[in-house]
Amino acid sequence: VKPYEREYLTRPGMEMRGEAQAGEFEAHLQSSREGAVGGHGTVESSTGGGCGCN
Amino acid sequence: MSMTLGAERRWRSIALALWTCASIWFAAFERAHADEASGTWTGELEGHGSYYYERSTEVWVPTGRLSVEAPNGMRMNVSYLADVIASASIGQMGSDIDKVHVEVRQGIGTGFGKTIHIGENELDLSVNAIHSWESDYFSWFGGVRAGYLFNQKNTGVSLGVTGVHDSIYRNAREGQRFFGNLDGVTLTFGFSQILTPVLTFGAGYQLVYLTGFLGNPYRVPKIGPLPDMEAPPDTRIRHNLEFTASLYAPATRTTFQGFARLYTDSWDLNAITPELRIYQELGRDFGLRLRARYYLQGRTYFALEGTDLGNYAPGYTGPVTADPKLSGFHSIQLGGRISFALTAFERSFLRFFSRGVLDLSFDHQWTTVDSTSFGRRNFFMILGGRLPF
Repeated sequence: VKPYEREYLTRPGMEMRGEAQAGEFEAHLQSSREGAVGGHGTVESSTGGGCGCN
Repeated sequence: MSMTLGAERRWRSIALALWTCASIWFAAFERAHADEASGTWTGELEGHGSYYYERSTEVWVPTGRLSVEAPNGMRMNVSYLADVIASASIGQMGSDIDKVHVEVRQGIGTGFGKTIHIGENELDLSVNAIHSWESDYFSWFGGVRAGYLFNQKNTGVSLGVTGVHDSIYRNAREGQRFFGNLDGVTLTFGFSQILTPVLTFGAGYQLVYLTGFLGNPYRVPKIGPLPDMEAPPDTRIRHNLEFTASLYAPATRTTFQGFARLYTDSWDLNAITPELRIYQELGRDFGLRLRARYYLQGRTYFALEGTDLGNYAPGYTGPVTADPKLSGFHSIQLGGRISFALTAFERSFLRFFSRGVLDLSFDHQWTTVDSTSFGRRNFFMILGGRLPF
């Protein structure tokens, strides 16, 4: 794909970083309620805390 | 090795001093190279307020992040968050002090990065660190990442390494007791490919090694006639494999995004997570995002479930947990988000805000998890905004 063909690649949803900070909150919620952790561009920034449980 | 609360605070002071030195170096580096660039600084201010509700617990989380990029391409960010957790269940909050119903976790983070142009290709290097603390939990996190874009920037590969060190305490009537440390290392490999002007594909693999105290010092599963301390294994190895694809339809200005994650770990917990997101542009200023997520997991081999209780005799010393999230269950999550660009301010004295975007999202989840405190339904809302400058 040439540089001048990239207009649509900047649209919402074509780039995940648009929800980065909100995604961190959601990832933390999921890590406190689900056994599987990680993926979807997240990293395991903490293994527990902030949820009343590990 | 045990670390006292005083030591935790000393480490925080040392980290603050290191961050200050890094910031001074960052500013000095920029001044030294000012002649290489146009002299324009750019950045983004981002803030969110999140709210989570389930039967016994509510969580409020205000967060903020400031990111700046120097004319020479150096990036820096600082962030802050606070978790305010209110619970009507002492078992959920995990303390034997009846009065403790509200707990606050705070976290600060910072990161530095730079993109280096190598011919037509790009090498992006970044480091980041996060420290969070609450009355009974302290966490130190650091990571480095390298990403390389090539093939006319159509193909990307990345490698990330992170480390975490947590100190776990227990609030009790006789004071705060140290329970143990938890250490972890994560390796992340990523791949991305632009396939056509409207289609992208990504894949990633994540390996996590955790060792130390991996349980909850407050959770007391009932083994035989009496409750006993939770005792999970002291190591855990996680594997994540994920795939993402995004497709843009110019005719309707719609993006379809699919995501799938396959997870397994050394505790015999396996999970799959498919997710579909649809982004719809509505005129010039509005955007809508709908999402459906399904999560399915099996149980760990040592998770207590109702019919298992009789299998554990008094004096049993093997691994055991009553953690609901280590049991087998599935959940469905449906959500929506609306975004509003503040372009209407372009012709007013508030035009500084005209590049900003406000977001409001709402997600509802139904789960079959076997827990009296989690409940079978929960929801969360996020209100926030981004302001590039």
